[in-house]
Amino acid sequence: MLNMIKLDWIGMKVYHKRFVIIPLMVCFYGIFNVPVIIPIVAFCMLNFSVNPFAVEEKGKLDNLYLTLPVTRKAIVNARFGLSLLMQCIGLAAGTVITIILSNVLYGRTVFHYTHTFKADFAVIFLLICGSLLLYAVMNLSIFPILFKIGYAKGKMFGFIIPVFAVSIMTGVLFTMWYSHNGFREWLLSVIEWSLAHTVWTALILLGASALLLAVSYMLSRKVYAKREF
Amino acid sequence: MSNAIEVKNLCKHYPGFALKNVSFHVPNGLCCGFVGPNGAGKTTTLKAMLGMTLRDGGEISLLGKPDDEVTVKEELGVMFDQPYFQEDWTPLDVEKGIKPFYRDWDDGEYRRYLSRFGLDPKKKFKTFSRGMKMKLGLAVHLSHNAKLLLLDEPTGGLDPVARDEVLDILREYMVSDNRTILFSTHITSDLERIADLIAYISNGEISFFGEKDELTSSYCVVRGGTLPEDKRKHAIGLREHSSGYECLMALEHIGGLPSDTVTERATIDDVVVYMERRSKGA
Repeated sequence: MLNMIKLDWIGMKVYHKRFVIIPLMVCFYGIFNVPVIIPIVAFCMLNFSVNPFAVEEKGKLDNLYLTLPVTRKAIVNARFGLSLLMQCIGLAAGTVITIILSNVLYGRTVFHYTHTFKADFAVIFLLICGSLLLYAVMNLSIFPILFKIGYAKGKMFGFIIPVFAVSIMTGVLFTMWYSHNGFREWLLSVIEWSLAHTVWTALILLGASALLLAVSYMLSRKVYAKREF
Repeated sequence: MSNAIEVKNLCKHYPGFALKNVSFHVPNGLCCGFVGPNGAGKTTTLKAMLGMTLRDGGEISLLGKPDDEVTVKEELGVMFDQPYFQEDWTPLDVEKGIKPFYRDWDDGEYRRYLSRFGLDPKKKFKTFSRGMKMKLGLAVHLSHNAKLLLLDEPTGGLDPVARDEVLDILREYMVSDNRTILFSTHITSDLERIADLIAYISNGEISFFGEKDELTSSYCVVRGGTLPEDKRKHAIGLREHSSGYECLMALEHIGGLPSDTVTERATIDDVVVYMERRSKGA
């Protein structure tokens, strides 16, 4: 599996340079809103891990794989493995950036916004769990479709629409947070409950993420086993 | 002699096209040309052998193992119209990515082939000419000591010099014992040079399978003024024009033709062209 992950990584060589944009972009957003760093990293890393699909048809990466001594199951495993690995690296880096920026910016006013977010273990832990859930939802809505019909045919339903939907939902969430007192109070009460019950919240989020990822993996294996090249 | 390739009753149905009970076998150590017109089923057959397309029926075994056994691909070299390498890869990237999958990979051999074929290890794949791309693909397969090469149109689109070089590499490859090639192509003159066997596929069915010489020595091209009525049924791909006719005919039927008839030994191209003409109703 490690050889396949390595080959997937080499396969998207053309996109490697874009990898450095992620920490820069995350830091830029973080200056305005530190708590969003970890979810944004999760989102960016998921998008980045879709690149082996993006190169598969132009460079016929899947066709190459099927000439090698590997099974179709191993190809799916590697793509999930690479995605999870990148997600873990992203979440670890996002955690470090969040801790640094929250310490540096706490109490300071940047662009008319005074930072009041202080990172502590419980908050960061819940941000990571929540981001994993976001990753799992996105993974389920993207990977099985791309495994079934490939990126060229599947990018609209299997990539652009899910990414667009998450972006719109994030925008709506922020708009309601700033414009709707009732919603803000309700969300704050949810956050307070979560912080007061960290273990339960984490279990729920991690359990849901694991379930969604398992469904995504099983579906991906099933559809890829029947795909024609 | 054991068979490197055995295809039995291979079936695959698509809307508007089907492979119908395709069967042939290639003994170890021989080169088999796989010929037929566009859309006859050559690439589909090769893809079915690799598991790229899922067959509806039949059996395939490669190097004595069922085709779905993963380890068989360790001894297989596959090239379709060009190697499946990413445009941004260099030969060094290819080595880094591909080498771990083959137990018999030989670094030194790979470097020697790169140098012999004039391939810069740090140059990107996209900057290579088509001939160089094919040579890189062959360098990879020769470096992991592939026992069986499955090639789909490997010389298509190459200039005569590059084609000659690729054929030379293949001829050299065949010098070692127990190395086998299945070579699909439109350029039948290539097969005249390296093939021992010919599998001719037309409209999803194998129309001829046998030794190359058997194919070419069994038929001749016949041209003349008027074709006698009793010979019409033996004429393959008959074409009549104002000054006479031309067709392909099995050698056993040419006796008794008028004295002004010209007969020529058929090439693989002739056989393919006239048989295709017959299958289209000519």
